[in-house]
Amino acid sequence: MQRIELRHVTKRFGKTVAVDDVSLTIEPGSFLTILGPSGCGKTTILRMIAGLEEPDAGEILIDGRPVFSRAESIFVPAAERGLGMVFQSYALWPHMTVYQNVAFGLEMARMPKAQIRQRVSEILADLQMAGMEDRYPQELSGGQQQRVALARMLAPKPSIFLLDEPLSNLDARLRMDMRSELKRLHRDTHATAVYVTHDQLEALTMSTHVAVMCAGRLQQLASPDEVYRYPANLFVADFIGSPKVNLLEGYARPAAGGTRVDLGTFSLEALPVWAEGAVVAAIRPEDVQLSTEPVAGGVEFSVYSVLPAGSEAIVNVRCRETMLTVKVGRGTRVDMDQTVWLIFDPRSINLYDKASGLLIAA
Amino acid sequence: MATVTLRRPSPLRVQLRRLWHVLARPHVALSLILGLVLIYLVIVPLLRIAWVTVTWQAEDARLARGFEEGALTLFHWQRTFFGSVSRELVYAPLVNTLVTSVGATALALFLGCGLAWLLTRTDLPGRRLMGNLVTIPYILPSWTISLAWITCFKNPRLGGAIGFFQFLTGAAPPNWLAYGPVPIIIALGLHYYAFAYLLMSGALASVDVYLEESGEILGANRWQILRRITIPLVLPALLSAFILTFSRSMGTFGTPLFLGRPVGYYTLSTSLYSFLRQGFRADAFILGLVLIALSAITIYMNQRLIGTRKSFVTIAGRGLRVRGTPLRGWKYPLLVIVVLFIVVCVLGPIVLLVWQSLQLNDNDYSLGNLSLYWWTTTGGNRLYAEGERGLLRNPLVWNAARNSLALAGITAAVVAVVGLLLGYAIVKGRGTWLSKLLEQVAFLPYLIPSIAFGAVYLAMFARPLGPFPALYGTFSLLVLVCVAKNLPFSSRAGVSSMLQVGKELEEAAMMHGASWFTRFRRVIIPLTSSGLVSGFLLTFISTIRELSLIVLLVSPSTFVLPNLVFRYNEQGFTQLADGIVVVLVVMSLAAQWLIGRVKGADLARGLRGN
Repeated sequence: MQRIELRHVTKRFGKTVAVDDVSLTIEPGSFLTILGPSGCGKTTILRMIAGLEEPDAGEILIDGRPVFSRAESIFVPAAERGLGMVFQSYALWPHMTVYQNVAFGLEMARMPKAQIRQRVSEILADLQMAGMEDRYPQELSGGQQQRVALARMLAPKPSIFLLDEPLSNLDARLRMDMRSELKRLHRDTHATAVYVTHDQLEALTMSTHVAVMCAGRLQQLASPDEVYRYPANLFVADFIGSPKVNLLEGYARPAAGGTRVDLGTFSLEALPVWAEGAVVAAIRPEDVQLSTEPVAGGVEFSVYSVLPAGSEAIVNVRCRETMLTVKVGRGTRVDMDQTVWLIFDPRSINLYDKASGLLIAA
Repeated sequence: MATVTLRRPSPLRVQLRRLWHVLARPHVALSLILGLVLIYLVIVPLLRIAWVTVTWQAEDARLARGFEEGALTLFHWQRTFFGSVSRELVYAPLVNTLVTSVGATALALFLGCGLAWLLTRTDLPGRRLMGNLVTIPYILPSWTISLAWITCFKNPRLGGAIGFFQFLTGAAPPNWLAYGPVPIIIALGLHYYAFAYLLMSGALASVDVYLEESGEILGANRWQILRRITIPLVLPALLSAFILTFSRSMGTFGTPLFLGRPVGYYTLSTSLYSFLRQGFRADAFILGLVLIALSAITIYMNQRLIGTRKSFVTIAGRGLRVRGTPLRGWKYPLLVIVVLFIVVCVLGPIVLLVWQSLQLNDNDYSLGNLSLYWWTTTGGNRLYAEGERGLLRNPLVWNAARNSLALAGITAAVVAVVGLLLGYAIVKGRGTWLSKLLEQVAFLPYLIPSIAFGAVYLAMFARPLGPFPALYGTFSLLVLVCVAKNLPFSSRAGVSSMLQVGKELEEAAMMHGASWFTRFRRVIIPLTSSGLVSGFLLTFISTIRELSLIVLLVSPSTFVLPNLVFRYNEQGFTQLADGIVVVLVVMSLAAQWLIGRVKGADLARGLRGN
């Protein structure tokens, strides 16, 4: 179990700043997911921790020991950092068998042959890949290749796992299975895991901590629940959640019973947040109640489109220029152009300062 | 937050550590070493040649006043471009060079594009077999056809036996048909069309039929599809084919020598050669610089024209389908034309050369004249070639064959390894100035026509330089020049192999603690082996037939087979010269057959120089 610390790490590629002054601490034994759209610098952070990329500024410490420091010109090579990595493409050597792939790291560590054999078969058995030793990677399915990549990472028993979008090449069903296996693996090995993905569902389901990145900058580092419930800024609010959060611009002023936000077509009442001025209200689709009958306090909308998805349905509703997305349960049936009434829960709405984009704390 | 608890070492130590840390990275160290080697092999020779042209040379003593050996002067440039003999010195050869290269390029592109279209995009029967046959000239020496041409159209002007044409018709072919620009253009065109064919058929085969079908659905007719969709897509390949044929025709030496010199028709490359023979080094080097400038201008124009379109060639996606345009009524007439072309222009010259090498008396095509004399005689008969021994019993031939094999083999092996190392250094350093420098310098030999490149090396290695002895006349110099001239292709091939391997496969080994050497041995070399082998064979083929590049640098003891062809041809021992060409053809075909055995090998790969 090892702590990883990044201090003011910056990395440029030519003129573009891939990672911009990022500081973050990854606690021992935690499962940290770095989440962000493509090109946000998340993979670069992972590669800098791995020692495959050298930062332009800052320091990286593993277990209190600096493995990189610009000021002191320290750079510890990847192999001496005690970590294992799964690449996005798996990077299985196509000219080696499964056995040779997995044994490679052990050979490099000069482990005796007999022990290597034992360790490889043990780890392949753990990953339900026994009997596949003599196959070549091209002869395996995507899921099996994924397991070989994992086995190769696990074989030398690293105390830190670095995983670069390891599930992005798998189909949806397999991805579900692998998520739970990875989570189990993390628990059983007590390793510190850093996981890079652009898939927010993966981030929310698997990690103990989520770091959201955008344009090279760290936007928020918190638990999945907190990131989901209280996004630190408008970017995070917009990025997390599917279907996307409704962002409505308005003007807030204190009123009796809480803050009142005037959104133009309608207004939100009694928000338990103190705010005044131009704001953006963030309302999650599942936090809106939809009624097909007129109800007290309900705001009248007309249904623009309905997208059923089995257990639930996504309904887009419109009231003049304002469009909202609402998630409804299976029980509610609506048709296009039908009139519906929406009820907003003031406790579930987050307000953001329009100018700075930051969350206005309760 | 940033509580730096570490003790700060002294700034100097930090600087030194940083420098060491940068230099110790394998690709940086490799880039630096390769960079120095490249500068020595490419940049220094170029400077040296320029230097000779602006200093007094020993041979100028009787030509001009104010002579002072080694001092700076513009004498050579003035004499060459503005003197009383400048017409003969530079302008006539320049015009001749342009005329023959433009003519040859036009012919080559017409034939190459036409055949490429017929053999990849139509329903012509037997496309596969014919496609293989029409690429044969690519692997032959560029001057094979010129020798066959002489055999066929020789006229009494030169004395000696008559040609095949006169043998058949009884009439002597006119001079313009036997020697000079017309045969040069035809002989070069019939060789270089194969280059255009390879590039164009590759490009045409990679145009996805869906792109054309989309046009069809939107109501475009055949001609509109061709003009608006297909041609723009293959335009970059067409321009590459143009530049390749043009710059090669410009720098070629054998063909204008065999077909032009007998009537005093000189191109830049042949006059460069004769100036050097007469001892006018500076004049020869000026012609070399003119050739380099011409070639650089063409390539620059090509880069400007292609610009961003370059990427079109690689758009081939998965599930590629290629559609054959039905030829309908044209099918059989076109088939006859293509078959005739292959028989007369591709196989004909080879058959003619084989036949002639089997004639006891030159150009007597009767069956009774057939004999193995020239292959097997032990010599001594003063009636035939002054008693020269037969090819198979001639120590000169065996020695040249050994030299040829050694030169091609060693060059190809060195080039394959250097190419991979260059590719590695360039790909790993992508984005750094060092990587760009390597890529640019490795590309430079492409700009320099072979004969000029040979001249450059002559200037450079005639005298000792620094720690290196004078290499002139040695075998190592031949290897050096062949390796350097092949750098552009080998470095491109190395870059593309490295890009195919991708960086993650190597990084995965790095994560497990594999050293640089181990990564190379266990990951990179196994994964690039097919590229290495095909690169080896391609260089082998191109080196074994090389004449222009090394003709200025060989000595009698380092003679290779093409030199011997050249020498026997000058002495008028036609059958011996033709016999050696036949040997070279067989060797090239064998190497090509081997290439076919290598998985993933691609004949056109060595062509994509830019």
